[in-house]
This record gives sequence, structure tokens and C-alpha cells, in this order.
Amino acid sequence: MLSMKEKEMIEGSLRGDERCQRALFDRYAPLLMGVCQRYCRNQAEAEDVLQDTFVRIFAKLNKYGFKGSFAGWARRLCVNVALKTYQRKRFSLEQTGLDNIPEYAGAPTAYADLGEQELLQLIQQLPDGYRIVFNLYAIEGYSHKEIGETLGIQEASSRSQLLKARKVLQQQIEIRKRIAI
Amino acid sequence: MSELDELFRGGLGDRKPEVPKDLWEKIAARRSALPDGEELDRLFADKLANRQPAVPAGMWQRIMAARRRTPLLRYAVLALLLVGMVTAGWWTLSQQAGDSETTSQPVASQAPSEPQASSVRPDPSNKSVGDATEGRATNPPETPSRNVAATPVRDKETYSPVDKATVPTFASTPVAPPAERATKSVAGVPTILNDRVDRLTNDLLADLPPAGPGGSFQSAGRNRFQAEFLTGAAYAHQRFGQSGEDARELRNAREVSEFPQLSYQLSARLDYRLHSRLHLLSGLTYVDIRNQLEYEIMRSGGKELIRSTNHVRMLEAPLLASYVISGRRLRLNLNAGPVFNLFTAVSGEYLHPDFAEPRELHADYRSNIGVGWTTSLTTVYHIGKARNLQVLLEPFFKYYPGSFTHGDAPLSERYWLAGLQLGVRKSF
Repeated sequence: MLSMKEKEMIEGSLRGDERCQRALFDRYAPLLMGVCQRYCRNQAEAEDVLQDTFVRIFAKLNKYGFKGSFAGWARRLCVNVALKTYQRKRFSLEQTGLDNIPEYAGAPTAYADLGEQELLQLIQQLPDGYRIVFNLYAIEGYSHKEIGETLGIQEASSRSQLLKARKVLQQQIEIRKRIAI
Repeated sequence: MSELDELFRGGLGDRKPEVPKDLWEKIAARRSALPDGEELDRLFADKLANRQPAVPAGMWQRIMAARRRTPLLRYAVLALLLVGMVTAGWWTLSQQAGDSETTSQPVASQAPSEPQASSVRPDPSNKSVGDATEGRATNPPETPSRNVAATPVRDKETYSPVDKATVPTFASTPVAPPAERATKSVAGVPTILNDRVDRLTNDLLADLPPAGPGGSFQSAGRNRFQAEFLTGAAYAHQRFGQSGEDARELRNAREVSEFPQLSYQLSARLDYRLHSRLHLLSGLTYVDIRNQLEYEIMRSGGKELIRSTNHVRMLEAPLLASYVISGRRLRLNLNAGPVFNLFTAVSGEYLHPDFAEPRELHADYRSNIGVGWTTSLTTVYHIGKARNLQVLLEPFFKYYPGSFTHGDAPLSERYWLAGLQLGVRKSF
């Protein structure tokens, strides 16, 4: 359910009230920035996607219709913008790139101590295809069928990419753990 | 085995050094801490799903600036319309002003029809008439004997105030048809200077078409038709719409894999002059809308980029109303009207999320897409003295409201085109 203040912000934004739009931005920008950082390779790309996301949110706000959570709606929109950013120039049916993953160069860390920032780095180092599928499946909770439909690939490709992404992440964690022990 | 070997074997062979106390804990911690499968997923999801990092400073200003950005194309179309409207307005106003000046001088059009100009006596109060009469009286043989009188050209000066005043001075000669009338207008003594001015005027006016009754340039029957041939390039904007939520993924797949290429258009038109300013244009137009399909596949262990071109080829018949805004050599035609599609053929492939291989395009497309609308601004430049060959430069915009796909297709597909044509026009 929408809180009253949130509803007022959305209605005000629909009327073009800039104060309400700013309030909406202040409230949801951190959450969406987190989403953008997961889908993008670096901070600069994440900022570009966040900007496009809010431009799109204000342009499409009339389609929200107060059905369900606004955070969920905005989050889905953000994911779509991020996906389009990576797919716009090249549509990839298959993605590889195990050889391009950089070796971990940080200080030895116990696995249990891996923090948000380190996990984020691990995800950002994944090849585009792995990163997107892992995000969609492991964090957003999409099924392989939905991922296949969203990305225009087969379910089997989605499964394959997820397994490869996990393998790479495990390897990276293993390296850290080995160093730590 | 040497004694030395025995020494080391005896001393170290059964040695059981002390195991670090925390070694088992370390191994156990490592085993339990190495996530696998969904456990790994959970680890990332728990820590990153709702992470809310700091938003960089100035992000709101960036978003506001991006929202205010208006697409360049919208500006271009508005600018084109504005320029067209201002030009049309300016021209119409200036023409109206010119017409009112002409109609306020009634003598000009009446003078040639006066049967006995000799009965017209010059008004003594009119100095110029008196001078003209005098001039002619003192030099009777020279004025009518001018060669320019035989030149079949339009005498523009007949409509000037000076000319009106001088008309009665020619009254003694039979009234000639307008095209045969002498161009002499500056009455007076035929000096060398006057002769030169007359010759120059005649040379300049010789290029103009003959005048019709009332002094306006009427289109002769043979000039009513003009043929035009144009060719040019265009940008075709592809827009998808989905019939239901099920088609969303197909739409996503197509939007990210198809990109516009340069499209082409060829036109052969006939221009029929309805009125001095209003024309009717019709003919045939061939349009080739080109889109590039681009995707990657895995082949022989490596990625391979596949590119191909999709074509939407159309034959259509435009029916355009054209409003003419003309200058001496440069002329503008503002055209607008419907475009009737005669035939549409689609070829190429597209990516479908449910299939591993690209699918053929043509199955879902209509062979006739109905009516479109177009508007253009033709800039016409006359070439040569004969002025019957013209070079055309025509920016155009075309919009097809109907979908190119069948009604039961999962996606609707619409286009608008913006382009530039270059061509020639020939008068008959």
C-alpha cells in the first residue's frame, strides 16, 4: 500500500509539481542507484542509467496507475533501462568472456567478511551477459523463462550463463579465501 | 641404503609434529563458507538486493537538464514549418500590396482597348502628357519606326504611371495587341541614351513569357503540365506496438536488434497548374525502407557478428496540393496531401525470443498499408533562358498511420520518414 505522503508525491509529480518530483527522487534515488550499480560495469555507467531511469519514470508516471508498490514499478523500469543500455548497440545471443576477468588484487579477506562493496565489485567484474543473467535470476528473482523472454535468448542460454556466472564468482571467492587461509 | 639415509629416516620418518590448534576450524570455516548454487545467490541477494548507496551530488540537476532536452528532429520540423509559414505570409502580403497598386491605376488596362485614341486629347494640365505629345510632334517619323515595336515582348512599363500618361500619344497609330505594342515608354526626344535604355529593356523582357489579358501572366495550355523526377535519401523511424503483454519480449528483442539504415525514395510526378498559385501533383513513388538486423552468435567457439538488411519496399501514388510562392528565379512549393499505397513487399529477418534462428519477416506483413500523409517544401530554381528546366530540392516528411503488420500479428509496426530529395522539373 502506498503511504499518503508517497501518493501525494506521485500525484504532485503527475501534475508537474517540481517539488514533488524532487521529493520522489530523494526517496527512491538511493534504492535505484543500488540497482544501477549492480547492472553496470562502473560508477559512470551507473549514473547514466540512473539519469535515464528518472527521465523515464517522470515520462511514464501516468502509466503507473497506483497498482502495487511504486518501488517495485520503479525498480522494474530501472532494470529495463539498464538492460536496454547494454543491448541497444549489440544484441548478444550468447556471451562469453571468462578470460577477461581480472585477478583479484585486494587484501586477503575471509569469505564471511566480504562486504557489500566487495560483492558488488565481484558482480561488476563479470562479463555483461553473466552479470545481467545473475542479477536477474539471483537478485531480482526472475525465472529462466522470464529471463529468456526479456533478453530474447533461450532458457538454456540463461541457465548456461547463470552457471558460468556462479563458477566465476566462486573462483574469485576461492582465490580470496585461499589467500586468507 | 646408506647410513646417512638411515639417520634421517630414523629421526624424521615417524615424526608427528604438533598440528596447529585452529587448523580444523579454518578448514571447516572454508568449506562451510564456500557457497554453491542457490546459497551463493542468496549471499549476493541478501547483501545487494536492497542496498542503497549514496547518490552522487548533482544527479537531480542532470535529470532535470535531460528532461528539458527537446529532440533535435522536433526542432527541425518546427523550424521548417515556421520558415514556410513566414515566407508564405510575407509573399502573400507583398502580392496583395502589389495588386492593390495595380488596380488603383485603371488607365493601364483600358488604354489598349480604346478604339480611336486620336479622339483623346491630352490634358493640358498634365505636364508629362504635354511633353510627350510635344516630343512626338517634333519627331513624327522616328518613334513609330523603332525596331523594338516589332519585338513580341511584354511591355511591363505600360503599367507604370508614366506609361499611362503616354498612352494617348500613340493614339494616332492603330492599337496593337499587347504583345506587339511598342516598348517605348519614355516619351521624348529619341536620344542615344533613350535608344540604349529601350534596347536593354527589350533584351531583358524578351525572356519573359507573353502576357495575358489584364497584364497578368496566364499559364498557356502548353505550360499547365510539368513533369518531375526526384530521388533522395530518408531516415525511416520504426515504431513497434504490442498487442498484449505476451509480445513484450518480442518487442524488446526487435527493438534492440534492428537499427535504421539510410532509406531511399524515387518519385516521378506530374504537376498540373490549376491556378497561378495552386498546383496539383500526382504520380508514382517507390520507397525502400532499410533496417539493419544485427546480432551475435556462437560459432566454432567464438562470437560472430551477423548483419543483414531488412527491406520494406513500397509503390505509392501521392496526390498533393501545392501552393506556389514564387520569386524571379527561386520558387517555393508547399506541398501536402495523402499518399495511397499501391503495393508493399517486406523481406528480411527478425529475432524471436522463442526461436534459436532468426525468422522470416514477410509472414506478418500486409501487402497494402493504406493511406499515408506527406508534406514537403520544394525549392525550385530555374535554369537557362528558356526557363523550362528547373532544379528541385525537396525536404519531405511522410507519416503512415496504419500498421505495416496484420491486425492479428503480435506486434504492430509503424513508420515515419524524413528525408531530402533532389530532382528536375520539365515544362511541356
